[in-house]
Amino acid sequence: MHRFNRRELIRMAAIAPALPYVLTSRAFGDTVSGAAAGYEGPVVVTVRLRGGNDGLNTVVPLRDDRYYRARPNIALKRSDTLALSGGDYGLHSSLADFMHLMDRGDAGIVQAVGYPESSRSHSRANEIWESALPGIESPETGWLGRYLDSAPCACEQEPVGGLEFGREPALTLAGAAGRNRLVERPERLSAMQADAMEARLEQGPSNPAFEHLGAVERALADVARLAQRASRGSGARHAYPDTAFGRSLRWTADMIETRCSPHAYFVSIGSFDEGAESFDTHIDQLPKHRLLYDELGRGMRAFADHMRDVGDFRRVVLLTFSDFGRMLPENRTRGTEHGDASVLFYAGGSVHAGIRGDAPNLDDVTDGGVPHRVDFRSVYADVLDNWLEAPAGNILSHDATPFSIVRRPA
Amino acid sequence: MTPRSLTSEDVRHLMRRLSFAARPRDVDELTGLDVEAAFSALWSRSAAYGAAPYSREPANLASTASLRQAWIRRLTTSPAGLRENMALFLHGLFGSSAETVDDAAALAVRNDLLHEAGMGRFGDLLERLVLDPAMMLQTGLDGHGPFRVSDRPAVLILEHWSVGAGRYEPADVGALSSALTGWRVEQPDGNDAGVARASVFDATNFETGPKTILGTTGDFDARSAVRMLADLPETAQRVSRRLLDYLGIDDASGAAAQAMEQAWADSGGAMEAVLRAAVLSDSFWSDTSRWSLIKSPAHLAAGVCRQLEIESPALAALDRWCDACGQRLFETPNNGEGGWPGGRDWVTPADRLAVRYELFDALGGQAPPAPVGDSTAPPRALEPAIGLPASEIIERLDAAPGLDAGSLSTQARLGEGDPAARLIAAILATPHYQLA
Repeated sequence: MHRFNRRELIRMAAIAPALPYVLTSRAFGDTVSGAAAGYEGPVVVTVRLRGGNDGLNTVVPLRDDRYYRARPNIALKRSDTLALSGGDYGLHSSLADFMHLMDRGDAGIVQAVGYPESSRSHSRANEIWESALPGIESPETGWLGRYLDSAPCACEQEPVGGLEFGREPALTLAGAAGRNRLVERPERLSAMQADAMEARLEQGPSNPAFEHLGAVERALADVARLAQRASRGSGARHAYPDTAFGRSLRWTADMIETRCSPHAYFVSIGSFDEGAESFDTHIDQLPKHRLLYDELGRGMRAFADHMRDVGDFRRVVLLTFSDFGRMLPENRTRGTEHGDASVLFYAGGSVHAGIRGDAPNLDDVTDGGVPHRVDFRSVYADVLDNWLEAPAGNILSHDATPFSIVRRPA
Repeated sequence: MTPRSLTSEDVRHLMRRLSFAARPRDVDELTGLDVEAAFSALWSRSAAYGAAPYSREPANLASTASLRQAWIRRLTTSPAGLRENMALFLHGLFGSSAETVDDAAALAVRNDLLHEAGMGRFGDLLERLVLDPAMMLQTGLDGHGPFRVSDRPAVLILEHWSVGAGRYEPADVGALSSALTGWRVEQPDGNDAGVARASVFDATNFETGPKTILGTTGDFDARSAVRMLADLPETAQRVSRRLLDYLGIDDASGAAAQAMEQAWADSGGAMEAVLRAAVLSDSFWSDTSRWSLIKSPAHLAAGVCRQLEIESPALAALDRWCDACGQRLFETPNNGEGGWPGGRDWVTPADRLAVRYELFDALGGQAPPAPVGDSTAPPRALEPAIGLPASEIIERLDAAPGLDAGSLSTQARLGEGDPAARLIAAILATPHYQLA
């Protein structure tokens, strides 16, 4: 059978009917050249907890009077938590699904993660977490973007190395080679004939606006191909939350299952613009956390179950980050202000499960903020060196002894 | 260079930027005029047009959705296109949070204010806007008194309404915050829907005495403080540049901005003078300013309806489509702090572009809908355009150069269904049509 190359497909598409963009989906494999086995290597999924998550009400120091004195109204009692080994700590009870993953050996939490002289500004803090370059103002690349720049790929056939779900571009997957794409609702693209779009960009005004539209159309075509491939995934069988976060995780899992090209994915939870509560809990923290942790836990469990079901959990690591932690003392509106270190959740088929790292030292609070005990770049270094097998020293520009969360496959 | 006598293409460029798009009669009326005369004609038409205030039509006040659709109707069909465009610009400049305000009547009153005062002096607008009930609810000025919880209203006014970020100090925030004290929003009895709220001054809650804001000391209250801010050259500079960005003008030399700031100073902030200065500038007419603006969703919708003279657009469908494209009227991003970023942001993320290409579907039609399964029937709203020859459709839709209109026209004739509808759909779903 003749396999059409891209030029032939474009020429054919140019004389196709003039309404190519919203048609009943055809056999995806007919129109995509080189629909090969796909990517089967290690994958990293990053989850951003938007707004700054309170680590102290996530892993609760049940026996520490300093916690209870500082939070007369919002401290959690033992009965509000799930027992962690030893009895000194408890996990917020709305994270029951996440606890299940930990018990199963699929997940863990690193305590007191941060970095020196941490920023309490949302925008600056996110820049730092996403770039892993605290010394650089206005960085232009993210830590996984720099990994994608150096990762081997068949880039012409499979241009997308990183895929982000959301409305605004994040930095984590941004790299010099531009292998990241941003999509809000992939379901909009599942009926699109991607190859037909590129022929239209050959003529137009010579200006940055038209050139940008051309780049967007090409990105659209790239993501449409991924969405169409992922539509064969089995995510519908799993109980993902019906939220933007849940849907993004499901798409991520479907794409991993169907061997889509990205090595890295980025999703987020806690966006006002997507109708969710935020982790930026200045006001009424307790009810917001109940909702957010429930959604986070259910989402991560559905993702893990899905990946286990199809035998792909072994090649996935998921980890979270958040702008910063919260201050130890509560404020006057039953919430907390911006702080420093917090917890980092992670999950995967080959991780060291349980609570990792030392608990935050509440004797050492500075300007209300809890100091870090694990530098986040050490966690990233572990993921890069031991999971993605990419030299962390080159990517992070920081000599960090990896903080072990992944178990290197035998 | 600013043309001496407008060609039809010049008229289309002018209308694309000031009034969403040219209707066929606009091209006829304005071709051959000089820029000054054309601008004066457009401005006068809008200034004279006496549409009923949004807040006086009960149907608009049933819900925020009703209000949005009422505004979409005006955006798409009002003869006062320039007034609608100025209101839309100001709506984005000041931001809007329907969710916070949660009162369609109050939002309608504010929308009337932007439409009316937006054609006047900026200082007059700010004086009225700071005490507009919807704006007070949105900014947190309701009940703002000596024991105020936050300085957010002052920060918003300094950052988004006047001088901009980086041009004020914490002390200015404190002083302005003090000047803003003493006002609250009064709830009508029973909170009946459609009954307008009122802003009420309570002297016992007002911090008297001199305040120093950006180097000027006076016994400022809310009105006098924002008036002072409106008259600052930094405000003129910031608002002028925002307007240039909104209009998509490439002003690399800065000459247009300078002319606008001078016009502001000479006229006391009259928006007519400021906009006139922009339109008379060489930058407005340069090659790099043409076809360089990525249209907002509202601009796309308003433009196609004007170009095809659609008199009864499907308002609910267009409302949903604008929202899906990232522009829900009365709900700007970040809880109303500032407006839509515009430009490339309209097509970020990439699938927003895919939704924009569905504009033809959103044009919809009036009941009754096409029979089930009849995909060949064009939307009823398009009836004014059905039957037009392809050449006229192509000319009216005025897409950026490089569009292979001939090929699209051929394909439309060969396909199923009404060829005019197919051609319109095809043109709307091109990158070329996204540009003004």
